[in-house]
Amino acid sequence: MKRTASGGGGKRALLGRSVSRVSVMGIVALCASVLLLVIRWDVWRELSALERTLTAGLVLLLIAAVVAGAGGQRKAASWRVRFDANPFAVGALAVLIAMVWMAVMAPLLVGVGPTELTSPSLTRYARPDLVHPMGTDRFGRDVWARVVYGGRASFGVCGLSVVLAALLGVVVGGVAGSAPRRVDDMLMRVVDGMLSFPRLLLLLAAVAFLPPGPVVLATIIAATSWMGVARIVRAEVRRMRGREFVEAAVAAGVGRARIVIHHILPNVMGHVVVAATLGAGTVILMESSLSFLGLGVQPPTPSWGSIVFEGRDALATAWWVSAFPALAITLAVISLNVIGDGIRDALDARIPSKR
Amino acid sequence: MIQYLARRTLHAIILVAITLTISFAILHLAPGDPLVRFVGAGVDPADIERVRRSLGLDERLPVQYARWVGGVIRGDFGTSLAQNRPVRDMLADAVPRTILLTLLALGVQMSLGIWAGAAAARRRHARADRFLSFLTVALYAIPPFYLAYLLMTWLAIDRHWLPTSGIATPGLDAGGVAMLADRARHLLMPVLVLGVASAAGFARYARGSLIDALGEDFVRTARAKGLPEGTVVWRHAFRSSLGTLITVTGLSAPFLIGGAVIVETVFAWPGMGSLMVASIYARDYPVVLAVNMLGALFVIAGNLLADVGSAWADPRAGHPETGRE
Repeated sequence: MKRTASGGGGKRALLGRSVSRVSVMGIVALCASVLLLVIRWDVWRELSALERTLTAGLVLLLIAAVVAGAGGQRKAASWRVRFDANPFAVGALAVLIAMVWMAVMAPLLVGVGPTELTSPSLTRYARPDLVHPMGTDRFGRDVWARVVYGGRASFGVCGLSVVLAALLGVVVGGVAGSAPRRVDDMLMRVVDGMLSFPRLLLLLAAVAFLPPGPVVLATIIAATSWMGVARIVRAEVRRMRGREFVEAAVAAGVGRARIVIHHILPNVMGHVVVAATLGAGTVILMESSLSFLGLGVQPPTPSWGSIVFEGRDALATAWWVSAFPALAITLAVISLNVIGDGIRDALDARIPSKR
Repeated sequence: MIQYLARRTLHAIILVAITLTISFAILHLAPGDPLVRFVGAGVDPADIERVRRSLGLDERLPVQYARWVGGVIRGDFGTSLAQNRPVRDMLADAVPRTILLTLLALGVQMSLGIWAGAAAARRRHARADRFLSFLTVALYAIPPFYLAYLLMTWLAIDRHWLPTSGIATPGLDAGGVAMLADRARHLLMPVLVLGVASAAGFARYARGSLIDALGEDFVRTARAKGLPEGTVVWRHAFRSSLGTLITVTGLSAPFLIGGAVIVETVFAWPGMGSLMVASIYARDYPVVLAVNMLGALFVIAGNLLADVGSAWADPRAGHPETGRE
């Protein structure tokens, strides 16, 4: 794979400014959002305040991505430029953004609801066609609508738990890395202990004792997936404690907590983002496994794992019911892995990628 | 070496103590105690109180904790709420089946993973390497339950080559070889799915450690001597990365045991995983806790075994100066 430090292709230009591939993606998604809003204005007006906030938030995020992508072009050695030059990573990001976008825009994008029955007797287990691009399930519900809405549950639980896990990991790792030896030892033994449980068993045990619900689910998943980040942050904090800029801060009389938060953590965030992105793929799989076992997102709310489960009886006759949600899981997990690897390679320019 | 192993054993014992505490904490995660959810659910309050007393949930926390730790050490996990028989008896049926399943899957994982890893490492950055890299990521990303259903549909429902699920053909009254063959036919698909799913991650590690080993000076020496490439890879490079591979094998224990839950559920294999899921639905929390705790014990034991194996395969591992601790 050819990669140059100044890659990123300065050839693409918009209104006289060179833009990155990520920016182009952001612009495309932004245009699609606006177009969808205009076409489906009547649907938008019916939406609840929460739905509108969610959609507006995504649009703002896309604008931010465009601005950030365009700004990154100025510094040639920036990691954003190197990320932009990696076609696999950019492609994976495009797939992921498209999937998240579809999940957020679900009500505008899909005409029927995920639990709506479409004249049952006629369209049970209908093959994929123009009306139902992914066919219908045993109740005559549109699988395409279910997969798009299922993305909301899957990405929502995943996003919330990844953020929570990263926060917890940073706090525990930061404390362990900067605290006295005894506290450090204690915290790391807890990490070792948590890592000794097979994660799915630990999740199942926690699910068994807590009331079901998406927020509880995300919290439980976060509670079983912060250990990797904690280890990374601790190791990095330990490593950086000997660096000159930290010693300079100590000499200047800056407090320990302030040193960690203001001087060390900003340098660790890259590792945290990589670990969180790679971990997000595992979280998607975990959530789908739990939903598949009937212990994750509860019906009638669709989630990819539970749609696969519902299609299991008809696998030989109606492959489409479970094939499409399984494909969605696979695509999301592959994308997250490739993006995570891409960010790591981009951040760590000196070490050539082993892949 | 002895010192190293003693240190690892001590570490494992400390880990067991910590996992015991975490397991106990899970029991008290929910506000109140695990029986609170039965209150007002059509259950006689007097019954709840009786069960609470018989489980010792009316005691103070330290007493409950001591009882839990003491019980686990003696191999006593209490009485099942749903079946009213000792949890130990239920585990006695399920655990050997899960161990059989995971060990066979481990065999599949190692042979497939090492083969694919070596194939990729020898053709580094060539098309075959790229293809194998993609395949391992894809296999990791496909949800294992869907993989299981695909295989089941193909081999059992379309072709009738293998039984769809279960542990034995009902009504089969044969002994000896016929029974073993029947058992093997029921095991084939679960083992394959679990083994292939966990081989994906393992192959990446195998590839990485083999690439490291192939870059070493002694490999260049071996090649300079004119040894055939197969000998160089397997006798020299592979042998030197064996220690790392054994450690990584130990690390795959949690994945195998977690995956067993999914595979056992799909193929109705009556092991620990099926027991766990059934117990959650039955709100049989002593069983849930016991399976979770046993899972952790298996992982710790697996890691300890891997430490021993890796110290045997690679004497550098246990040495105070070259150790990779």
